[in-house]
Amino acid sequence: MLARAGCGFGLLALADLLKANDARPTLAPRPDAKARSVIFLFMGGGPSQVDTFDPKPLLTRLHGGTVPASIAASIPRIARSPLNDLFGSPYRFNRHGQSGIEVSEIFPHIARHVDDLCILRSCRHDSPIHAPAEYLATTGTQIGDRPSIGAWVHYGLGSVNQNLPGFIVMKAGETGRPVAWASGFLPARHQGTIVESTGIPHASLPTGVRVDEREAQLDLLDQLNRRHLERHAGNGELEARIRSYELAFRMQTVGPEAFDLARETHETKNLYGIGNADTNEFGTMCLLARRFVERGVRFIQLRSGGWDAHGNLIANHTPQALKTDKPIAGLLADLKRRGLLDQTLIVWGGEFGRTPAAENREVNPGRNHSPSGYSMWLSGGGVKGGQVIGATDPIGYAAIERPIHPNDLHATILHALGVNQHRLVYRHNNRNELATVNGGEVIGEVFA
Amino acid sequence: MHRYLLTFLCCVGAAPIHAQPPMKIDFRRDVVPILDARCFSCHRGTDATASYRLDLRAELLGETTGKPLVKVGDSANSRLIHAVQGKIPNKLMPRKGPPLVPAEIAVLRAWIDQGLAWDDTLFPAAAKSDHWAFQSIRAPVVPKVNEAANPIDAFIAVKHREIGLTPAPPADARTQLRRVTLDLTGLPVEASVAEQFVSTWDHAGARRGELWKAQINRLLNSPHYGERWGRHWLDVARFAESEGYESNHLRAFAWRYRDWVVRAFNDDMPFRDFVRAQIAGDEIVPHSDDNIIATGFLASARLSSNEEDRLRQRNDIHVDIVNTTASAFLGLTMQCAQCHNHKFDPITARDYYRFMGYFVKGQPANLALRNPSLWKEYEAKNPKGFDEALKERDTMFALGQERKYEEIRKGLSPNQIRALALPRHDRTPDEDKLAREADLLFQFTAGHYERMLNANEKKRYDVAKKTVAELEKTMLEKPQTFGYFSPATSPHAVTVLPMKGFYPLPYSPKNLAGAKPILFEAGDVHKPAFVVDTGWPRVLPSPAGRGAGGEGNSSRLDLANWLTNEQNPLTARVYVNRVWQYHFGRGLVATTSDFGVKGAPPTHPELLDWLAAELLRTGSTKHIHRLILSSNGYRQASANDPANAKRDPDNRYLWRWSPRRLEAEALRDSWLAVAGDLDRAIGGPSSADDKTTRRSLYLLQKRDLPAYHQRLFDGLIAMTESCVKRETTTVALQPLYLLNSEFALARAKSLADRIAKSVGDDRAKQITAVYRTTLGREPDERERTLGLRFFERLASQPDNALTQYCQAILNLNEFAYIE
Repeated sequence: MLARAGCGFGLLALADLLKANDARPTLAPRPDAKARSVIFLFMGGGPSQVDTFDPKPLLTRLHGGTVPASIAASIPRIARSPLNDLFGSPYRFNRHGQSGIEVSEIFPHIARHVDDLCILRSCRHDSPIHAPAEYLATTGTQIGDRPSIGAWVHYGLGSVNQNLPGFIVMKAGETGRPVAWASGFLPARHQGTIVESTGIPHASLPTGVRVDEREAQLDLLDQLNRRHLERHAGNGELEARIRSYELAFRMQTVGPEAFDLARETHETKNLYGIGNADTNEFGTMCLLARRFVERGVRFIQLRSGGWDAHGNLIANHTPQALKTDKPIAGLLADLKRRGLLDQTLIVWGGEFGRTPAAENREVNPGRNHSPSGYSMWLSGGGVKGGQVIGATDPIGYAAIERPIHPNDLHATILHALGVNQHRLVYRHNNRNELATVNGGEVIGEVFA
Repeated sequence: MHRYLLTFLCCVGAAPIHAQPPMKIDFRRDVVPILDARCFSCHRGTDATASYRLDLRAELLGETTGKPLVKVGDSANSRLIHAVQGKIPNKLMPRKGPPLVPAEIAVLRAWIDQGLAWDDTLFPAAAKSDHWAFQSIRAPVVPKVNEAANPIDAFIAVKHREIGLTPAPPADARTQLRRVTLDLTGLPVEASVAEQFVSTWDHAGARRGELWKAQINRLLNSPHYGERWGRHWLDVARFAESEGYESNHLRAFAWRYRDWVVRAFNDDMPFRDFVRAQIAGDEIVPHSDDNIIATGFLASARLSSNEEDRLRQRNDIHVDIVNTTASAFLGLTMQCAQCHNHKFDPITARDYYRFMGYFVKGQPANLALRNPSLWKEYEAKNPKGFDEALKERDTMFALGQERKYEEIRKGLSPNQIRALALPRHDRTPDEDKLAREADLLFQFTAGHYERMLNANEKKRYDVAKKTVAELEKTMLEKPQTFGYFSPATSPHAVTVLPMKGFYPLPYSPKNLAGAKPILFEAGDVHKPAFVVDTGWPRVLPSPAGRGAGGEGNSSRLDLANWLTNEQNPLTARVYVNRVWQYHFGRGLVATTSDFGVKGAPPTHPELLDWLAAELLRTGSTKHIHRLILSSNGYRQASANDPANAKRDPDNRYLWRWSPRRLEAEALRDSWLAVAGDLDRAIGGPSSADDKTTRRSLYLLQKRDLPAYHQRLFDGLIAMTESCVKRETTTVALQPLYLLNSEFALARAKSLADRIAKSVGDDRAKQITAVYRTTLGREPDERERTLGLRFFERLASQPDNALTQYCQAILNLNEFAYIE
């Protein structure tokens, strides 16, 4: 591309020319930063902390009772935070790995990687409603009009691969909320592109159109556009648009290779649970994510919806965990053995956690939404595994030790990638905007 | 008084240990030097880098922010003193240099304790500003420049001379016609129109000016003009057809506002009426459906019907409306003052909530229309028994709800009950917290209320509910629009129809009538500071004989009248500047929605004021269009010129035409139009199916989930805030869409069929026809040769070749750009 900049187009053109390039970075990352890509495993609906990564024996002992006054005092009085009908986890927790960190029995495969996980047990914010909470988790505010963290990362660092979108989103079991991968006020090229396991939207040649026809068409288009450009010498936008057709052609010819799982061994597919009815969908997404990481895609959001266990916790969380446990463990193992885990930051979690108190106690007990204290975990990308950060109260209701806000998580994701949150600036409506404009500090202990 | 004495004694008592406090403080002698040396580098003036200004007495008292820094007579409990004493974690002031010495602190304390003496000559209280945009508009004299026939060109020529720029020659006739057609209608010029225009043009000589005017008038009279320019305004109005947030319910009748905007442009509605109807349509006498519909501007705010916190639910709407109204009409970044005083512009948080006062007595709602023919149609199709069933259902529901509420009330403490009964602005902070927590206890979904009914009641309820649901499937909804209405300030009895959602925005005329604007500390609706009066920002001029809002001056019609008053320095400037931006791709003020002190200065200040004065004089948007479109500045060629480019690389001073890409809508519409597929019907409900061949204006504007092409080509996606200007980004997914999508393939095929039908199999004729149809011009020799070569290359597959050729031409840069 730079070679073409020498063909008579001056400096004026260069800035615009680069616009066509998804890879254009806004700033250079800190040299010692390890993470180059992010895989955000978004568990939509809100997995329950006390049934996954935050064991609470006292909750089991208080099952059926009310929250002791000493604990209740620190629980924020927000909607959906009942203090009666405590509900001990129906799941057993076991210690794993060198670190001996306890993980619920619903994640037997992920548990084996606990020494690579940094568990954040004190995540906390104040919205108990799905959408605003998810907007907080993904964009930093409840309003839903700001760029998602993936768009910020893409804006900051661009993407190495020009044959694939630099920010990819895949979904299982939900329609999703587009705000979570939107570009907000950032230019639209930074928004996440939703792909199916079959490929990039509109990347396959339509039926009835032959390759030679397409080539003839693009040749004609290119010749006419270049002649037109002669009349507009120095117009970088027009040059960028010409270039976008070359990129599109490459996306169409080279891009699909990234989606071709036939190139993966049987053993690898097994590792992700591909071929098994329960794990096939999310396993395929996880394996594709690894292939995207290998190809330099900057930010990948894999979404598993359906964790919203209001009624019948067991009928919800057991299958939800089953669908994702082996695929995620496979992803961790596969990245690690290929030496990619260190350069890939994995983030796991939902928009909030769930109440230690029961909902629908009489029929099939479940749990209501609770943002007051919930768990997420990080792995890879320079993260120090085998550690737990923060704590909730003895029944797992509210974060009482080292509360972590979604803004802190965003600062930490940027930091892992070598981006100083205060230097990633975008001018919008005549004002400098930051990803963490409402605060947020790097969780320093996360890193080795 | 007693406390004052005590504090003072303490202060005196402490003196021997620390420092000698002056017995009687002199503000100028004792206090100002400290403020000046240690505080003012950050805390003074409109450019204060920190939130608080210490050069305003009102700010020290918390009157502008809701957060007092001093408690007069009580320095021990004054935040200012705590800050300099380091009693506030991480906030030891000043940040720079050593902490204040005890003697300095003692001076400040004595100053506060002795009544916070002030010197208005040093630090005047009134907000004044010499910022250009806040000064009145005076129609400037048009400069005398020999060659300039059009006043706009005269203003432009003056700048050219100053900077040393040579304007480009006029573009050729075809380019001018294509440009103005796309610009005014968002559709390409039709081949036959272009042919006729050019053939007359070539022989018109001195009559060319008349010919050009005739074209402008033809296009301004086209109904497609309103569709195109209405869409621009809908960007500013952050128009959408769904609520946004989580539930994102559709607003099935929001399209009526969209159609109102289109009509307003087509009818060249007087500017004053255009503003008044949108801000205060429900208050205008006599009642008209159209004015009610126009309040869709305010009602386009997002609304969370899944928000359990009712205070936040309502406040979010007010915030949205204040921000959008200030941005759209005043070009002010008022949103900055929601949580603190504006850091750059002389707008305080108090100003923000005073402005909010215009809106707190109304709310967005489904509003019944009066148009008799709509009601006739509705009643003809309204099934028998519906109203009765509806009444039965709602009565039973209310019964269950009341029982549930009664049950909840029994569990409340006497304090909670008392707090709930108080109007919000009469509660103490503790009472407010109590009331808020108690209010949350009342939030239940429908099922909980239904369970309060006994078996017999439940049966009646179920039957009625089922009947309603059944009948609703087929019946028409009552004639209505989604607008903004205040039963307190509107003289009309407008029927408010039910809203949807888990927790629909409650509608209570009594509460609305009693609503008062409250300043929220740090923008937090749960931290009410005090009630403020209603009004516009104090820094802006008030028409003679009127204060900045206030008593008897606080209806939305008052606001609208102030906005459109000729002494208002902003509204007309901001509006004509937007018109200029949509014509040229850049405003005379480049920051179209920021006319504040940090906004871009106007490139041609006199021209801006002259246009604004023309708008105020005529009220006609079309008049402004005609002035601009008949200028040489608009009709220039886009050719580059190295000498000019060196002096003015961004073409700010208009020495040529800057080509720009068609927006998402115009691009899609252009494909449809030249393919002959465009359904040109005007207005009506939107289409949720993007396979429709109607104009893109009529695609359903669902927040966060617009049609794919709209997301892809920088159209609006979230629709959460007033869109100042569309971006142009170029990514590879765009060509993939224009090459491989069903939409693109279908248009290419239609165009090919259209061409083959009109000129037959002759490739040379086909090439000419494709150029005429798509670009409104003849192909040149080289273009013909390249075309013929393409057909030769695909000679083995002749059937498909024309379609492929058409698609290539539709993908041309020339087709996608306004040149």
